[in-house]
Amino acid sequence: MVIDLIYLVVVLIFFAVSAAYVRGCDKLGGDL
Amino acid sequence: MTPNGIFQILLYFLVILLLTRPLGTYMARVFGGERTFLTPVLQPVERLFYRLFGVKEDEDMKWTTYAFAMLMFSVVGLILTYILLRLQQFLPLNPQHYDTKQMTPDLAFNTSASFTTNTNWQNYSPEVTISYFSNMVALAIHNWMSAACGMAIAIALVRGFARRTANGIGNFWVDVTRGTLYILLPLCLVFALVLVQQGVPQNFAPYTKATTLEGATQNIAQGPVASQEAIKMLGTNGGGIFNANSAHPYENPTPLTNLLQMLSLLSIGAALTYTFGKMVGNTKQGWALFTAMSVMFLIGVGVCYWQEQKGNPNVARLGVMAADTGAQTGGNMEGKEARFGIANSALFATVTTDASCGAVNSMHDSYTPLGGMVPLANILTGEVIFGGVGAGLCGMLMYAVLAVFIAGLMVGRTPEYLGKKIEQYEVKMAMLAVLVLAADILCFTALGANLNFPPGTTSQSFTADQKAREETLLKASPAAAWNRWPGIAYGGSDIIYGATYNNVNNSAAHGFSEILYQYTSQTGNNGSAFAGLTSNTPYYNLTGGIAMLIGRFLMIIPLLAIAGSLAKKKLVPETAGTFRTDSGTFVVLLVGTVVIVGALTFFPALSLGPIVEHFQMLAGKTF
Repeated sequence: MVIDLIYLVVVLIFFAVSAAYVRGCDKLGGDL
Repeated sequence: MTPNGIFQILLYFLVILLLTRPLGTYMARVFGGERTFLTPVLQPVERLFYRLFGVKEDEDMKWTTYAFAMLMFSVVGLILTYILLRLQQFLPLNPQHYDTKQMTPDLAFNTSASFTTNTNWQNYSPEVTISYFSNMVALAIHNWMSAACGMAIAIALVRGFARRTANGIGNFWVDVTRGTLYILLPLCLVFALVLVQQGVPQNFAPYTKATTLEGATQNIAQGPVASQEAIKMLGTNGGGIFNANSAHPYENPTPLTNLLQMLSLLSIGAALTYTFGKMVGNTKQGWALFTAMSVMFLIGVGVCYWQEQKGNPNVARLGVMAADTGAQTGGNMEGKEARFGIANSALFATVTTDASCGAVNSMHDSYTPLGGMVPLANILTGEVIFGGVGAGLCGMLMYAVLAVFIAGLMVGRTPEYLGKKIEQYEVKMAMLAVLVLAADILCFTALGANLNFPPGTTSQSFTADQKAREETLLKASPAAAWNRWPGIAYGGSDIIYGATYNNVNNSAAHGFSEILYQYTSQTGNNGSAFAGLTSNTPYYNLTGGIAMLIGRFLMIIPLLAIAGSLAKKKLVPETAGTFRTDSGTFVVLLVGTVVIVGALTFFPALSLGPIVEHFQMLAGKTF
């Protein structure tokens, strides 16, 4: 059960990073 | 190569060519919101979905909103799949009573990441791990959704090229719904019924116990195969109901099903080039992409078939007849289904890696070094040769952006593509996508070829009776659990591999190819296994899962950013100095860009694997 939660946290972290990546790409466009 | 084999390959290509225009036109109508012959039946269902989920059909999304919608859709799907897989023993349609002994947390993570990303990498044997319910609800749903998602992304990117001074690139929910309802559903329905007619099972029955002539008992696996098989191929997913995948007679029973499976693999990807041409208002642009893809396809299948038909000279040196005599195929038949032979195996292997499918009807690990390098190279270059549904067109458009940029540098003009100026931002985003792919593959491969967990360079295996000894080892060195295969759950022995390179079946260059192929296939969201690497261990499940997520989402996002940026731009009028992108010169430049970018990035890795293995094979060395 604890391991399950760890894997789910890994998933959430990945998608949080992806969301930040979207913002980063968007910002880069704004800077140009 | 035999005339018969060459004829079959050319016939296959001809059918793909003939399907491209009608299917491409139909898809352009679907994604353009125009009326089709299915509208009277499907529009009420489509509208019902929008009402149920509060989707505003005419809402136009900015690229960031489109990307967030895709991410939300994927994260929810991934978590639901994980939960369903881990709870499969409490859910219905589980006549073999599979539970979490087989579906461990790390395997569930790898599997849910795999199906969410359209990879369908399977670190398990489905017929001894997965219930029918898990197959149909947790996994097959993703076969539909990830494919529809891929098409939606491609169409959004095409809108970026087609629109002028627009803020939005379409509506993600509408694109996914239309792709599923109007394209995948009708095609899959017809295809599944044809498969059933050809002998593919479609039932919920427990496995049949049969007694063989020698008196042994055999479990004959079955299940809802036809329904999954249809979307597995059309959606370029690739995850089979059986471990042998499309080499299994229940997944691929006849020569006709073999041909239909290969056609379904590339038909949507090929047709999307025509859809692209229609949507940008110049079908010649679509044909230019189709031609570039065709050139690479025919070279790939030609090399693969030639090498496999030539076979392994070391076998011939032993006095084995290696020539095609009419009475026997000759060549390299190791790992190939006798029903399909060399031509149809080489064609399938090329097609499945041109697309991001991953279904196999032969074992790529058994191919000759250069024959096996073709599938590997197809994935390494981003599966842009027709490609997976949507993903292939996206990848090719990314290369097109780079190609016009290179052409612009050569002639000293600001590059343009389809009347849009390709500037710093688009090139940066295209290169980001290229680099993400390369870094993901090469870093994970390097780790897999070097990482050393306890007990070190020698693996240890433990039977059920030796469980106490295994526990003692794990207590003394907890890190050893990271590379432990839970074989007892499958009636065998647990293996604690130690170093991650111990998981390979072959040594030296071929072993390296097994690790390289693993991460290439996962990052490229292909899912075909080279085989030969036992990767159902926490280390490979975790890193593989992350590689698939990076390969899917961190590559798609820069492409959506390009779409958003291009959609905002004005159209630049064509002048005498404009580089034509519907010409033969552009096709050559585009193919060159794909090959050069792929060669520069991956040549060192390929040299350590299949290339050196080829020369070692010629020198008489085997692994």
